[in-house]
Amino acid sequence: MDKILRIDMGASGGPAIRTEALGDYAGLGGRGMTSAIVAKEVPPTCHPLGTENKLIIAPGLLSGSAAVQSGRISVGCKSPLTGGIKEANSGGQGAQVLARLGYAAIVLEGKPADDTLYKMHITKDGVTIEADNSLKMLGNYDLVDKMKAAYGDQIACISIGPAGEMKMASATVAFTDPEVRPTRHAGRGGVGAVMGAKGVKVIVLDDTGCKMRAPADPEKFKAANKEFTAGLKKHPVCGQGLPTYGTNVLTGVINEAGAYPTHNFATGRFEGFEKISGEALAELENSRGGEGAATHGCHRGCVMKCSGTFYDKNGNFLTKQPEYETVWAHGGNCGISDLDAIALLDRLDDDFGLDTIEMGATIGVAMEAGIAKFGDVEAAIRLVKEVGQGTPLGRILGAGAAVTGQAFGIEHVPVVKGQAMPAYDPRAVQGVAVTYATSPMGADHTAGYAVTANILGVGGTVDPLKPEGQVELSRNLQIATAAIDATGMCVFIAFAILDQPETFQALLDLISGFTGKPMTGDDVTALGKQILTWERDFNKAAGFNAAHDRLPGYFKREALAPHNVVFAVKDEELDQVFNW
Amino acid sequence: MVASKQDTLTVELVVTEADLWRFFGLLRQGILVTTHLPSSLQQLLLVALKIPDAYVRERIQTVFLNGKAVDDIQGASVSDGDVVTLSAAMPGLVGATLRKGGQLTNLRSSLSHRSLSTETEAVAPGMVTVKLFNLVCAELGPPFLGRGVLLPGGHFKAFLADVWPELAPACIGARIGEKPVEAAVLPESVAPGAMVRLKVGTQTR
Repeated sequence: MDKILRIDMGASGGPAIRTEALGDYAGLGGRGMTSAIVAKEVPPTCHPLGTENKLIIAPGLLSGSAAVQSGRISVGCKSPLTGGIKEANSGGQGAQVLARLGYAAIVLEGKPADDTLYKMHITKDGVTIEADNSLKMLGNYDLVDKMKAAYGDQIACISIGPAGEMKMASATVAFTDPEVRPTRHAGRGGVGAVMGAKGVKVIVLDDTGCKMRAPADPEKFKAANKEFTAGLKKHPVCGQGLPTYGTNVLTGVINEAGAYPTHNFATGRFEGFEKISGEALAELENSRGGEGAATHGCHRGCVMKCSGTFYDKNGNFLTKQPEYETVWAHGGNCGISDLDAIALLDRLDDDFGLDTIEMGATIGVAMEAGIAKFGDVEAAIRLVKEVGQGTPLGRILGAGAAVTGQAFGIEHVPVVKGQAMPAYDPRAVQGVAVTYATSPMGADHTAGYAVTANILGVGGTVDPLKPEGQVELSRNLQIATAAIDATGMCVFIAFAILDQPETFQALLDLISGFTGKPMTGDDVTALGKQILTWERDFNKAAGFNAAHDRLPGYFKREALAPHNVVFAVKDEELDQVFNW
Repeated sequence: MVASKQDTLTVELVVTEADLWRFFGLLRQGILVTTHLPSSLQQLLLVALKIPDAYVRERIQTVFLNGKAVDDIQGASVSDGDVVTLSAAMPGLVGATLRKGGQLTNLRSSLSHRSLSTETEAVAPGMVTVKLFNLVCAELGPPFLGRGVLLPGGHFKAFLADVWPELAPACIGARIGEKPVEAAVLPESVAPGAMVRLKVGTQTR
């Protein structure tokens, strides 16, 4: 990973490829790399779909090595959904393969003068890019099948579906999984629309003949990797709960807590939760059987295996195991309690290249507007298909929840900075809502996922009884998560780190064993702060201010059943989140 | 709110071990536990439900009392009609915030259970609903079902309507009270209003 691949899609005579040394970006990976390049090279006031915006695809610092769980890849740009900086990350094979090919980032710049669509092919021998308009409006599944037919099945694909080509603000960038299926997505913020604006349909990666990235200190790295793996496997969440049930195990618990947004965030409990719970999903998958049924890793080198494979009633592959967020968005949020229908919606989203959270939230808003009734499965499927087909209604829905709310005159639109909230009602879990409100990314559940202040020692330990504790915790979690996102590590390592200090130490040793440089908790903190500073500064220059770090007003006014709570964190407290 | 024996229908079933999971949905909806109340939550778990102390301390990491997250199971008092939910440790930031006594409890302060004094309440027989989720359900489910669990009749009727058509052919034995019955006629033998004491044993075919 000692070079950056830049493609000027707007160069005269066709796309121009150049490879550069890392320069100022040396030592960065994942979100660190994407946010650094966006902050330095993209004019903050540019149009997200214009020639000045750039799309950066960057594997994590440890990706491509033997480090377990290091398969996350970041996609960054100015977001067409939020208007601010965006980093969306994904699992799949892309990070490992791109890193082994030696690239710390791919940067797509400029835009073609016409609507020609391109495909790229990257191998150890070089990069080719060619026009291929036969790929137009292909779904991700057909597209990947076509690439496999052309390049063999030892490839990894980075692609967009029709939503990206139509430059919809909820469009994703898809990454293929170990079975070369386009099931993993950098979902949030419309990054797929930016790739579409660059005219790139698919990037085909083939690391045949490439070696695994070698650590600077092989002995230290190997020992730390072993300790880190053992720590993950022995942990009750990472080693048992997630492999058995997947992330959807949260449905029952969040519903019980009264924090499960139901019927477009109207109430905190969903009557039909049991039918779509993680337990019910795993039981259904196991009863249907098939390869990787309820337990499956999204990339090679994953030991947690929190995903699964959803086969339909006839035993045919339909999609990967829908995540908690997807089951919620298309399920409880829309009043739907049919797992087969939710899995089909997940498949449609993946094929069209749509963010499942944004789409589920958008359909929830549309249902509140009377476009369909809550619980109407057929209508939900029809609406997603309209998005994929680009009908006039589909174009509105594909622009996301905020635009849909505006189009249909709805106040109840659960967004921050234009991005739909994920599967936790902010009135019930108010500390998480602080992160929803203040993250530079817009409402984002992964922005505060990682380790606590008390482990990292960010700003001293937090007294949980003090009222300002929620703000301080949110700040520290955002710092830590930004740093984790730079390593390429899956966020789910956080639980083992949270509970087991020896596993956190093993992670630090793993990083320093790989880079050959000492790594401490303070270094992690400094990296996280640096990334957030780049992101906040970009947003400020793009026109964001404190007013954008707020939840919609109705969350302060309308109480959420069953606990009858409103969002009560004061604006002045929210404004303190980034005062470090 | 305590069920009388006259209101309770006893159903005993024998299935293969591989089919036992089909009953877990009933445990997630909630079993009814009769005991003297108010009592501490810890007492309910250790004595009334006979869950080993180490299991309560180590495996049951997420506990709700009437939908509010509990940090101190010794200090939390359970009264007649309450709902207790038991879960293993959960993923995600929110999952972590909901864990008992975790470092992130302040993130969900509005959802935290606060112990209220129940000193003035007289101790009397009462009933609590206990829901078992995820790994806790998978691990405690078999012994609970083996000992027998009390269920709302409506839940059992709905279970029979949803699951029984597929499960009945695999049922090895069925009794209502002392009387053996054909598995196929079980649904029509359960009245909607009655409570059901369900005991499920396993046997190799």
